[in-house]
Amino acid sequence: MNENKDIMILDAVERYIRGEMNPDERLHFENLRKTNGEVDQLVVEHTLFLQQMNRFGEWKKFHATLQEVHTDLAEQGKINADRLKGNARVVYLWNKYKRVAGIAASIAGVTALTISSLVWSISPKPDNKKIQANGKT
Amino acid sequence: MNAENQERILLQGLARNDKKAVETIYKENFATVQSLIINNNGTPDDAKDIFQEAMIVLYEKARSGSFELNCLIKTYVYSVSRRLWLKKLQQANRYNGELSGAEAAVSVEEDISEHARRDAEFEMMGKAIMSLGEPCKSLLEAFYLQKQNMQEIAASFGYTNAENAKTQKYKCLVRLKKIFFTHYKNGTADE
Repeated sequence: MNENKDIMILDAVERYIRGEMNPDERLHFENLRKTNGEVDQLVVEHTLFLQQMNRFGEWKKFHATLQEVHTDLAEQGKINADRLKGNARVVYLWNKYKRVAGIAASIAGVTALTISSLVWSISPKPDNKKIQANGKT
Repeated sequence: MNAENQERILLQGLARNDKKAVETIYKENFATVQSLIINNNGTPDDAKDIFQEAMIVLYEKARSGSFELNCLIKTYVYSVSRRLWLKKLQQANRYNGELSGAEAAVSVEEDISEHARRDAEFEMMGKAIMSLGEPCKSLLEAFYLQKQNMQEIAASFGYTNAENAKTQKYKCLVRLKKIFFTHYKNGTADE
């Protein structure tokens, strides 16, 4: 029973705030507000709450608009959503593949050293005497 | 003078969530912010997130009635994005001392903290609505967010009449308000 009464009051408060009362009812309700502090408090509190709800709804809608606009502009090629251009693309790729590039470079370095040392170790040692002899003739 | 008027019209459109205005501002500013983020260790996804957050800060600024930005939209969006990205890098401990690219030309610190406060409130509201479960969640969203009338709602949810749907809606609302005001008080007490 108490719950029903609460709901009736809440309904009156909400209709009052939304301006859905007829003039007689409104006047009656305004008198009630003046004489009943609890009802007055409920109006203040519910106004705050409805404002918050409204803003929340608009905030959600704006988020949705941003997503839509982003997708639209990307599809029309008016913004580069994932295909970056020019300098930004180079920087992005460099940041992304810095590690890979580093590893590749060090492997290349090690390989070069290995091969050159290998070549050096298996190549026939130059014969100093022969060179000198050649130099004399 | 003409350019100034054009900026004001854009901001007024933005405040109304007018798609054309959002599109124009988006198109003209996205690339600059994108290069800022990418050139400072960010991914394309980071760029999108930061830019959209800056757009929300601008939206809130426009809605607060101060259409006077005291600077160009371009300058404002860039400054906000730069500040937001710096914060994000600092939070993730990825900040190495400086950001490349032009310095922020206007101070946006206050607007950003106001935005963070509001964002936290909305997140809280979203969570409170989620925690109600169905059908309360959809019932309240249909009435308070999508602004459908009780007849439509009764029909689409399968209530036998609008009066029953309305009673149910109020029961859900009482629950939501209880959750919301508990968190709201706790939330502001924390600050």
